[in-house]
Amino acid sequence: MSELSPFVILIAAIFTNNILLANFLGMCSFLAVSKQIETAAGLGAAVIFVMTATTAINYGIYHHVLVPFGLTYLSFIVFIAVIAAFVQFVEMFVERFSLGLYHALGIFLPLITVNCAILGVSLFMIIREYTFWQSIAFGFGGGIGWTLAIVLIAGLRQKMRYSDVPVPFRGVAIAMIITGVMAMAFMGFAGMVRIQ
Amino acid sequence: MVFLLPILVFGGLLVGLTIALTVAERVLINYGVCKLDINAGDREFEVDGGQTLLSALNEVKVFIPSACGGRGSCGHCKVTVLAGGGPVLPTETPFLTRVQVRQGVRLACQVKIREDIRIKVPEEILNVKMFSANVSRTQALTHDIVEVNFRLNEPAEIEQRPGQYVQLQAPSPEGPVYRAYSISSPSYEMNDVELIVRLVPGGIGSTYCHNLSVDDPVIFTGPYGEFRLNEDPEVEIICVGGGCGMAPMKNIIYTVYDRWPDRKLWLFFGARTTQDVFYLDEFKELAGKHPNFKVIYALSDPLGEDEEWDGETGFIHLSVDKHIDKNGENRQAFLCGPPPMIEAVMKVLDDKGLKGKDIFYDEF
Amino acid sequence: MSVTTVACVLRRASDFECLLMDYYLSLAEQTHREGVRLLTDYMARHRRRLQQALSRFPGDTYKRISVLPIRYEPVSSECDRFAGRTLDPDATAEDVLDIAIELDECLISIYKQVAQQDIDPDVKDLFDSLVRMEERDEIQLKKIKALDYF
Repeated sequence: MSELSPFVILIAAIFTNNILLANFLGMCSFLAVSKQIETAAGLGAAVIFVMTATTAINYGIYHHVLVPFGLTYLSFIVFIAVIAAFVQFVEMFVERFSLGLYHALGIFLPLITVNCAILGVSLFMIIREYTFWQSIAFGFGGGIGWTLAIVLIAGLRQKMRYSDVPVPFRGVAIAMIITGVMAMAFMGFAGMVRIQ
Repeated sequence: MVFLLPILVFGGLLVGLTIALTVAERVLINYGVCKLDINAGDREFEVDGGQTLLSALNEVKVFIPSACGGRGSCGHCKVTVLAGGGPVLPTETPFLTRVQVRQGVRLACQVKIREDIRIKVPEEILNVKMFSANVSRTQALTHDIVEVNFRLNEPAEIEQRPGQYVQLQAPSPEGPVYRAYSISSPSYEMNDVELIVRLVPGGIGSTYCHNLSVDDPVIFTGPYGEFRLNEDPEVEIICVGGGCGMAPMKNIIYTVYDRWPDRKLWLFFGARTTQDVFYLDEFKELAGKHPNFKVIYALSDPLGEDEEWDGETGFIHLSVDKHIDKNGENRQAFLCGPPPMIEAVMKVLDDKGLKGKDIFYDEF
Repeated sequence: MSVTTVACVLRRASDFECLLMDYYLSLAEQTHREGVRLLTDYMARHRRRLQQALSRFPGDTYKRISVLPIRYEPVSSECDRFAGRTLDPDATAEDVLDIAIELDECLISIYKQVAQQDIDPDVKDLFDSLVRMEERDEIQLKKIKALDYF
């Protein structure tokens, strides 16, 4: 069990171990929704919420159900079931309280289910043997990190509409390249703290 | 036990999640029962929230015209939402003008009911019913025009005015769609509805109609349409049709001669060749009984070698120009056909002194 | 592919519409078929669809979006073919309708090219409504063709 304080984990999850830029998890919805800052931020907010909440639920289920029964091999399928159900819940929630965001996110809202960053965070939590509060911090920080990355890239992509990108690179290709550059830039934070 | 445990644990977890989701759905998605107010208290209903306005209106038997079956692609189901409709959605904007948006016009199929809602619809729409009927007769009028008769089941009677239309439900790969057809049976025939349909290659509605056979069940809603025949028997009626635009005229003609045997009525009908002519003998016979009924058919294509034709030739607006007098106040006109024909005839009628408010038309 | 402004694309489309109107009107003058005359006359009078689409936008919105940059591939090959087309006084109504449908498709492809880019929502709205208008017109022309009145 690691001794780091939850606050350090939170900061590390945002900057040094950004789930998107260091682990390249959650690329699918990242590439698809990073065209407009508003929608990117909306999806990011949903991811923060889902990530934090599912990490907490999965922590409880893993340590209080799966471990006592010796069923840790079920963790993948259980985590995915929890995430899928929780995303459904978020979808209802957003539809009820923010119709504009619901229409802006469209198909991508249910697609959070298959956002591997969410499952990734739950699995890291187990591999790295976090305590409950460390897990919450990691989930929350991971969400913020993912949101930060997608909003930054969306801003860049919005600007890039007016730049003369060579034809073969237009669209997803250039987005991948700038994501790579951004990931290298984030490596600059690496000396700050280290989890893992 | 080793095998049972994972199944029990995972199954239990899924059941738990399902229960949680069901509860959430009850609490979140349930908008409860909402009040639906039509025309400022004229009619009030209580409908389940969460559904679209169009389906709620269908449920309370208010039938708004809609051709695409609620997919937001036809733009026919416009209603004015006075309160409680939420913001205009991107799916609606292409169908609405700025003035309409300001007035609160919305597409009923895109408005979701989340709270009490007040709407305004034309008074006429409230009389629209959904009919189930069976095909009683089909008859080919020309090589591509068919006359279909329906005997009404439920409700067994229809109250329609000449010039009105019904929306016939036709199956399509993407669910039922509705297509508008003018009623050709006279308004005094309450138990039957007759349509005249020209086959349009690839057309969903016309293909469906052409494939109907006797006893097939059909569903349609109606009657729709604002046209009102002038009730003053002194007013002369001018009907101009082209192509297959005959259905509303036939209704007008028979209704008029049922009520006013001496009323003056012109029927102009334009077709291309002798093969496209229909109902001519029937109308000639009727004209024998009612001397004030004038029937003029015109062919626009040159005649074939061995064909005989005693009617007019050329386009129908030229015939209208030839026969209709320049003056004369008391006249009402009804046009039906392709848009360029309608415009050409409108111009002629305008020259003849008819006012815009006395000219009605039905475009294809 | 080059970068240009919304106003510029609209101006080109409007030039194209004018060209089309001229084409229909001169066809209406030269033809000896009454049906073709009726039809082309009608089509010429109903060609000003841009004005219709623009009338939905408040003046200041238009001012704002007209200077926005978009990508645009100058006139596609179908439109080029149209430019070189000579008038045939013997054309039947069916020929005329075929040409009109083809040109509608050409305009649709121009508008779609713009509407598909990620652009300002108002610009997208404008071009989407243009696409819809042209598509509706295409359906109507196909219907007129099928009804075989002219």
